[in-house]
Amino acid sequence: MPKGTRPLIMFAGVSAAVFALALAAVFEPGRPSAAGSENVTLGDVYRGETLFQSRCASCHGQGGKGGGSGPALAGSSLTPVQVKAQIDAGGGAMPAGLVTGRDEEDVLAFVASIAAP
Amino acid sequence: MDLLLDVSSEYADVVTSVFSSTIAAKAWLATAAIGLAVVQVTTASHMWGRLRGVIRLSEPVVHRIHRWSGRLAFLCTLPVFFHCVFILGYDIPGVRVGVHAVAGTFVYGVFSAKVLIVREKGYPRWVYPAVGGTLAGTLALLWATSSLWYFTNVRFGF
Repeated sequence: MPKGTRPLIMFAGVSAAVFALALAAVFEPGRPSAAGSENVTLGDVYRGETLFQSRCASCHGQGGKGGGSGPALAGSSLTPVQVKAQIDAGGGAMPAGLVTGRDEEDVLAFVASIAAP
Repeated sequence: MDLLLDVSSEYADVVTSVFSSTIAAKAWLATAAIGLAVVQVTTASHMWGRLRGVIRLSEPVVHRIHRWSGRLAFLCTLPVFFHCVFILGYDIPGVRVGVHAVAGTFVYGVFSAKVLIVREKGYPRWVYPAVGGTLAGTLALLWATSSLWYFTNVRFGF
């Protein structure tokens, strides 16, 4: 084997392995499942937008359009029940309870307004 | 499935016992790694006859600093790698994340090749700074598209 081949094989092999692992994302929590008949109160969509921009947009992007470390929410078809479950329980990079109470209701209202496909 | 969720939440629990979020933890660990990469480049330059007027240390000491800064930098990247690859995975919603994902795919490949080349020896002289520079450049690109973005667009804090 000519000198220089082994590092190239190592480079290609390790890079391919990383790529495969990232595609698999084996510990990705995925979307929260619907929480059955739990009631979700939707608050003020405008206040929710302000809260979203200050608390959520760093990960979910401006207007929930993605671009950060979190998934895009705009057009995602997520229901308010699913979004509430994720906010309450957290998951992945997202800590639980980022917004609570009235703030959460307002953010849910805003997300509901952008999640419809 | 529960096991997978447990791993993800356990990781988040451990990391958030120190940092405000998993993202903040990654930003700071990557910053530590890039700081150590600067030490790597500086000491490597010394080994190649540069910066000797600036760094007045003996050759064995510089070699030792180079090796240990490399080991520590590698350790700093492991939690970042785990979170990026195993928990977040591939998702390219924009240019910044796309550049970050591509650079992240290759960084350990470059690292492995660099370590192998240094250990095998016998390569042309230009190969060593070239591969070391490629690794440092890849790390810098990763840092700029993650930590720097986080510190300037989200918050500068733990």
